[in-house]
Amino acid sequence: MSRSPPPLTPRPHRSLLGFVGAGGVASLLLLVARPGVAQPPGPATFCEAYPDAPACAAGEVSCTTCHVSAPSLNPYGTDLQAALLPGAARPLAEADFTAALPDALAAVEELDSDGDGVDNLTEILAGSSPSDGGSVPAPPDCTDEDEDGWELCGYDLDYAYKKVMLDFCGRSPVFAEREAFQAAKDREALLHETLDQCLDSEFWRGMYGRVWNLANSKIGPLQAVKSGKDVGPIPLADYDDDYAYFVWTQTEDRDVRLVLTGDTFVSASHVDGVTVYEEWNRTPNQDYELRGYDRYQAVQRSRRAGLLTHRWFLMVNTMFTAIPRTTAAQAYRAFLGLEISKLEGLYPVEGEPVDYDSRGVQTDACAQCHSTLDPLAYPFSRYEGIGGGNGESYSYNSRRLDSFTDTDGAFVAETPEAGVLFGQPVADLIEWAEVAANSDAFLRATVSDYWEMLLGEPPRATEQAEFAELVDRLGGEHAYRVEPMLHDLIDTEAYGAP
Amino acid sequence: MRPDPRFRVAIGGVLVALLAIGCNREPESVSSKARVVAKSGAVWGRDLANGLGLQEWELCAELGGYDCIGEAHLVALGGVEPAVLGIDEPLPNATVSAPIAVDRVASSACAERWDRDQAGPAVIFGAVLEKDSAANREAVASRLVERLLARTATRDELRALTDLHDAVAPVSSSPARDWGVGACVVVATSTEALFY
Repeated sequence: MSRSPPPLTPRPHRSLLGFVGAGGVASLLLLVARPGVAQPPGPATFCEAYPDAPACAAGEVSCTTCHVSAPSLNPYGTDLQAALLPGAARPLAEADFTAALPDALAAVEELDSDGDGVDNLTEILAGSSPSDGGSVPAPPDCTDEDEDGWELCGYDLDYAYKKVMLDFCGRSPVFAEREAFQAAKDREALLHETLDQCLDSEFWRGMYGRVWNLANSKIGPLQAVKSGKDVGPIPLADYDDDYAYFVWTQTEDRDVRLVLTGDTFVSASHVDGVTVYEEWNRTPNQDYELRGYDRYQAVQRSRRAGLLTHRWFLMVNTMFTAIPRTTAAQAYRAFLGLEISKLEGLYPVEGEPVDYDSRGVQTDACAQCHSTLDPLAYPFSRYEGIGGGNGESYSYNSRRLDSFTDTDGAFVAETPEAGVLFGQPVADLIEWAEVAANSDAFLRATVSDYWEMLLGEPPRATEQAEFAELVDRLGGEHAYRVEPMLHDLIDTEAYGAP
Repeated sequence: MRPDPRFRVAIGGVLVALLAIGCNREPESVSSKARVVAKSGAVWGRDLANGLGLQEWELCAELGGYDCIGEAHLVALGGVEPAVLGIDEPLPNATVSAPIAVDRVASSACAERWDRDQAGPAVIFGAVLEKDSAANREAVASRLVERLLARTATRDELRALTDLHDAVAPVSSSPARDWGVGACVVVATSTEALFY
């Protein structure tokens, strides 16, 4: 196995194009699947060909445009691949792929890849899927044949009011409330007043409430190893700290980026039936004295990066590993919406993976993802997991990897702390978190969390423009505050059309 | 107050299945979104409790002690249990037991309301408790829709609910109670009550 010094040179402009030469199916997948900062030619070419396609409203198309799940192609992707320089030797060169893609797209426009009776071009322009037989263009005209007062073909304030009450207050409006709403002079204003009231409800912001449960898959609680309240049989860390911190960052006027960049902690308690969140900032020693060995937060303030350096996050993800790839992958998945195991968010770094811990990740099958994942994980490698390397568990330790040489080989100690995120070099986890929190992926993931919570599904193709505007405004005039974004969200037709 | 057009035939539909009677369907409208989500058990239960004038913990208890919505049928009714069972999000599809759980909660809650109304003061069934007549059954049906669906009942809905008495009376030793509880369950488990 070759050993080389850590170059950590991102190649954002080549990025996924590098895989064009690696294999036909994989190349198509990666070119189409790639989200994020750089502009790979697959999605860009698709949207240059179909600028009016609803799926292009957000500036990119998803991997499901051509794939079922990577690397399997869906019917449209299969037709497209067949039309891409037929007869030419695979793998295609990068330049050949780029040059041939527009013609291939045009060649399959008149096909009906999914056999639903509607040709691909019509489906793409109408916002339905050319690869899903169950997805067909919506009727051009909504049908609202009776005069019952419901606005079936557009935003309906009465419907939105009931939905806001259910989604944010946790109950339907009673008869008198619905009558009062219908009689209100300014129903739009009343709708938003109602939302403001509901955002303060226990159902929404309280312990075990809706925002709290939004963090379930990010935190991954496990009662068996919980410390503190409701202690488990093997108390290792208290995820209540993580939940409280998460809700705190999502509510009131707080900057949601604090979920990754904050350097304080938050406690949650019930006072007269209302959950109270209190920010605190003790040193590890102070917290140890106050809460004891199995609960204290062990990272000093200068090395904290929001939830990424909480005790629970390090315990449950890093555990005993030297290079905590699982921790990095979970951070990528939970806060940036990118699932590396589905080949999402791949930004290969030149010279990676180096394989400092002798895991065999340089094999072709592994390197495809590990050239992104390993440099993504290096900044996490100085934070102790269970037991600690040669420092306190769950603390920051610049020499942590020295204690892994017996199990992972001497080379592991040379693993850099610096890494690469989205093709951008970062010196440590603090910079990693800054880049992540200021990324488009973070904005999209944040809006997606709430969109899917409230609408039960990702944005439909015809809703991409509304979704993109929510993303833009969250990072723009709303200054990363979730609650104003929610006011925007309830105004969308996706939310308010019955 | 208008019935949600997406659920227009909900109560009628339930009763058609139940009683093999028809109702006059109005012209079909087609929603541009057609996006319907299920209420979680907690939200549906809160609506049910509010509508029936009960506390949430009074709705239903399995084996006399396990709260139906918060414990016994938590996951079946769309709840989550991340820390022990690892269920971080509501199940994507309803479980086989979900309709059974809904029926059990609604039956228990509606029976509880009847019994309390009988003991007084009445919240919903007062008119029928006073005198089991067609007019009073219609008044109760109207009140059920108003309290559980927060709107005025349509004529078709009132007729469908009151006609339930014709099916119940020949086979019941307590037709007033069985009709009242049955009508309550029909409204409480209608599509409009369970989804939004």
